[in-house]
Amino acid sequence: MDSALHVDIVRNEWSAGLQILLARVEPNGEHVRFTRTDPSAVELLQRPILQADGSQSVHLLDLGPTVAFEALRRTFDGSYLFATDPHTEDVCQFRDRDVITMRRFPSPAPSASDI
Amino acid sequence: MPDDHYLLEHYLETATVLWSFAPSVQGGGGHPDKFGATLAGGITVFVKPAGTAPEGTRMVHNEVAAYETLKLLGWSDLTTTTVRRYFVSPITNSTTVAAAQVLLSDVEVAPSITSLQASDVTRAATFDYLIANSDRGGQTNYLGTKGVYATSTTQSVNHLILIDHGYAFDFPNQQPQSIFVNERKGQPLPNSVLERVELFVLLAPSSPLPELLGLDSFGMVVERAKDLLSIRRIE
Repeated sequence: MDSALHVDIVRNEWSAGLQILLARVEPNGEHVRFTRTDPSAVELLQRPILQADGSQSVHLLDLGPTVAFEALRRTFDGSYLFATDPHTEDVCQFRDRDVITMRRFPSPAPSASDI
Repeated sequence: MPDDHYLLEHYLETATVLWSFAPSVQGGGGHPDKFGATLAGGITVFVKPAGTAPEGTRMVHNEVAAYETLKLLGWSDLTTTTVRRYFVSPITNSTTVAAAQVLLSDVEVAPSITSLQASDVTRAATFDYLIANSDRGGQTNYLGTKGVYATSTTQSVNHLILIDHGYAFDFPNQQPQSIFVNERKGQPLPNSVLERVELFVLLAPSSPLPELLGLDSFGMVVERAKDLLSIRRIE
């Protein structure tokens, strides 16, 4: 596991058009640690999670980085809350901020046949 | 005969898109190019396009079918209105069929189950069992509307909102997984719930479900409903 990699836990605030960093998960020796953690995410990250076979519950902090990152991808995969793929600091969009504005696109002007 | 959701559904299916917006960081779920769209009239929807993936259209249909299932059960309060329509994706610039779902603001993602109403958990378990949901095992895919119901002890509880139903209805290579099913497994279902399931069995054949799901998947939903009525609990 490349120790420079990390995973971001991101909340999509669709109605406001924002993406909010809730926590960063990064390798910490043989385990992982949470940094830049929003208070609202603490309880969520401490809940037991199912293993890949769905059989047993484990805690993220007990897992090695590779297994933890895979568990994050599997566990946080929703439309409102998700884990990014592992990436390095230099390509991280949350490098220097905790909130990103979603990109806005104007609708194409209606054609004459639509009017 | 149109039901009481018809006008909103019709609006969502036909209203002009004023603008759309897309996450800068993508991820999560089976629709990688999801985006938001604000419709003329001011309603903003969350759009999950089918895209080009072979399973994309099936996932779009599943999202709408989940909403239709909740409507048939009389539990549409457990989600927001969801329709199928075409959009021009701002991400791919191509026209695609998509599921469009009304957005809620000020929601909590995956609140603790203990903060939810017990009756909501029972209804969600029944619903997830019926649709063979394979994507509610993690910490996401349900929301709570913050503190809607104040109780006499000044505690407040979340009203449950269920989201993300692409991986359901016996989706290939997926095993059913639902924290709500796990929570209620083996417990007797109340008559109020069984009555709704009975009504579902009666109404479903003339609903949009057979067309959305195909006859095989639809048949499996009805079989599970009949199983529930027979054993009166979730196994």
